[in-house]
Amino acid sequence: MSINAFNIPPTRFSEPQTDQSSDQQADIRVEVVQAYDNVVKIDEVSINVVEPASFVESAPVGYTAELIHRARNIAQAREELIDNRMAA
Amino acid sequence: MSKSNFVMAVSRKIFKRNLSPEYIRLSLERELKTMEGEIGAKIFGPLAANERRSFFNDSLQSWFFHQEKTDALRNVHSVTLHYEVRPEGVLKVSNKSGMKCEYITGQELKNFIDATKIYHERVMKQIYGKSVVTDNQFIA
Repeated sequence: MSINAFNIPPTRFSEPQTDQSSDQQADIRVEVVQAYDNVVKIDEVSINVVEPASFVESAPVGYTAELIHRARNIAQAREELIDNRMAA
Repeated sequence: MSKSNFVMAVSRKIFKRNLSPEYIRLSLERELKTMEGEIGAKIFGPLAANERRSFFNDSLQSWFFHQEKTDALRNVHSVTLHYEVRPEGVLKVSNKSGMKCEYITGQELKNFIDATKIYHERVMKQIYGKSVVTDNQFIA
């Protein structure tokens, strides 16, 4: 299937990239995805795929803190609404 | 009747006992995330008739994008992307075999950040009744 939901800015991220170069890596990734909530396994594999140089070149300054801040705002709003409903 | 009272009333009818507050809390949280996911889906433009989509924030570190398309033979093709925010970057993990597990960069990273910004503004306003004044502040 052609997933085209990621390639039109500003609302789509990118075309998912496939890597045909290594079946072994693909197998490992499948295993990771199946257990993606297992932080240890993700950490083990991410060691092999991180490309720090290209990341540093393109990363906006402080953006991870910005993302966490947005998520925290939303989480707080959720909690407030849930608390209000529970108290009602 | 409030949502929690409704859930407890149904629970009493069906199970002859009250649901635990924790169960109700988790149900409400799931319901809110579903609503957020519907708002998030609209960030990516109109949906085709054969398409379903969801984009939502799951926790401080986790964002999910899910898309399904049904082809002419009624086969459903789907992809789920998990974006994990880490101090060193945003790690993308997919359920599709053959896709890289990698930190996103460049335009993809910029678009992801922009999408979270739009999501933040719309969800805070449309579900929680709070207007985002700047990226770091919101008012009730």
